[in-house]
Amino acid sequence: MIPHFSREDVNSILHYIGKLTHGFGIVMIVPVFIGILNAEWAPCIDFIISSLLCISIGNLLLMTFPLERDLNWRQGMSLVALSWLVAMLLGAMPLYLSGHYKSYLDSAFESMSALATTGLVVVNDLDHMAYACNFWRHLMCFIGGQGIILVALTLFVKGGSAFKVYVGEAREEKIMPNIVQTARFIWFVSLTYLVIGTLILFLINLFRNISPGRALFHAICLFMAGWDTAGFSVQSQNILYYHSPAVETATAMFCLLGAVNFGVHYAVWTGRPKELLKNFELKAYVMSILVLFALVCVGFTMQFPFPDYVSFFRKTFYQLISAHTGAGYANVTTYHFLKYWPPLALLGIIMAMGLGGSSSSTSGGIKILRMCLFYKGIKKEVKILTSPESAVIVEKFHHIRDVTVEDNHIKMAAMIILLYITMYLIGGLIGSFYGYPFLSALFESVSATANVGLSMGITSPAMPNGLKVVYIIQMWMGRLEFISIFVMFKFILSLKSPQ
Amino acid sequence: MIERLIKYLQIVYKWVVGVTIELLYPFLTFTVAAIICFLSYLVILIRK
Repeated sequence: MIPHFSREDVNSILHYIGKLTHGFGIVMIVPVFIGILNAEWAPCIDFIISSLLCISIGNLLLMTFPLERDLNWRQGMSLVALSWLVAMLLGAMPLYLSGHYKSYLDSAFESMSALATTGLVVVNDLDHMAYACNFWRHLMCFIGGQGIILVALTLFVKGGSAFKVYVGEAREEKIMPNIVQTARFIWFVSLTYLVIGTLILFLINLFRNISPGRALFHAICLFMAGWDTAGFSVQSQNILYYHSPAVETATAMFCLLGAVNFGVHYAVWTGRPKELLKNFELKAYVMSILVLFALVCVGFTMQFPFPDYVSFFRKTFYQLISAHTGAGYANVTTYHFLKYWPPLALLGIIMAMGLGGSSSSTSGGIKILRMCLFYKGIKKEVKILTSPESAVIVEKFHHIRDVTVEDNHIKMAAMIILLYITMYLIGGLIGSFYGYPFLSALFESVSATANVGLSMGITSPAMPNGLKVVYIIQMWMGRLEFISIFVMFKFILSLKSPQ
Repeated sequence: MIERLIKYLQIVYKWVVGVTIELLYPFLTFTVAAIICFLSYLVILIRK
């Protein structure tokens, strides 16, 4: 019999939620410094109010539920799912106070979009947003891309609880034997690239005659949103604002690196560079990018809206990389998408968004490793059926180490693939019920669930509130890969039903 | 002391090499994609 959730479960979960809320309040102080540097006093007050509120709620929860115990699986999973909702509501506070959002729902949408590294936006007048507030949007992308729980792991969660919350946040691979060391390594990779990426983008911006302060701000924000495959940008025109092949190349490069498994980074950084050539998932990923890009190119053989080859390559490949890594950066306008992109090219982009990047990366979507497992599963079944009955069929592939494909791997991969496809279709159908064309609604639904952020114009402050809620749920479920959310629902239902 | 220093230098060397190789890796993908795009562009030009 499955045990019911008890009061002890509630106490443990709320204790950690208290810690998270407290921590979130402390992180909110960072944009205050940005505000002070730019003499933006009103946003500073917004952030101080939000920060104090978070710290107070956090302390209240810690005082009410003071006992810290090791979490079991169901507590860990429920904590993760709940943490993301709490973080969304807290992160939305300074955004709402900025006055750039029509309602708290809009700011919560933007907050979830940032944390889940989706990149869909419902902000009004982004080009005149205060630096502090704009920085907060990008900082949330960075925190969410790393994983709220991963951030907490390095600070608050210790012992046996760590692995349970780590898995709950859709990360399965332990790069190092210890989970806290793994979390620290992920931080090390991201911070290394933060320095390199910011420097490269800063120099590009300086070269383009942007003032040093502004160049640095744009560089940090673009890197944080690119590396964590969020796709937010400082300006409303997104990457199109820069009209720069150098900015596009640099952001595409960092999006691609962000979508690579952290285990591969570890292997390459510790003297095993051949992992880049041997890793089955990475090889499949590059192959998938090239095949889907070929599909997009074929789509344009019927209708060619570009003036020359360079423009054709720049626009199409950047959009494909943006979709396949889950970044959602755009160097074409929504109008261009709607008017000039043929259905076959859009299908290629939708498929790229749906597949997503590598497992244990900052990317969303189904993930290439699952497709590899699914392919290997089919291959194994075919081999079993075509071999003598006494033959023992073993299917292997190289992913950091040699992995033997087992039935439970295939079952789990197939289940998550099915859940993603179901979610993509449900979102598409709901969008079309609201009166949008099915292809556009499916595009938007895949973009939200796979945490990509490309849009065909449905996502805007004017879209129906019901659809905003649907996309928030899709972003949340897509980011956490369903299981921890199902556990949380089971938890809520068991609280209602009698023991 | 020197052994320790050599060990650290080896780690840093591996790290620098690793980051450099990783930064070059996307360009290989971009190059192959550019070739695919060029081939389709040729097809488009021929069809015109």
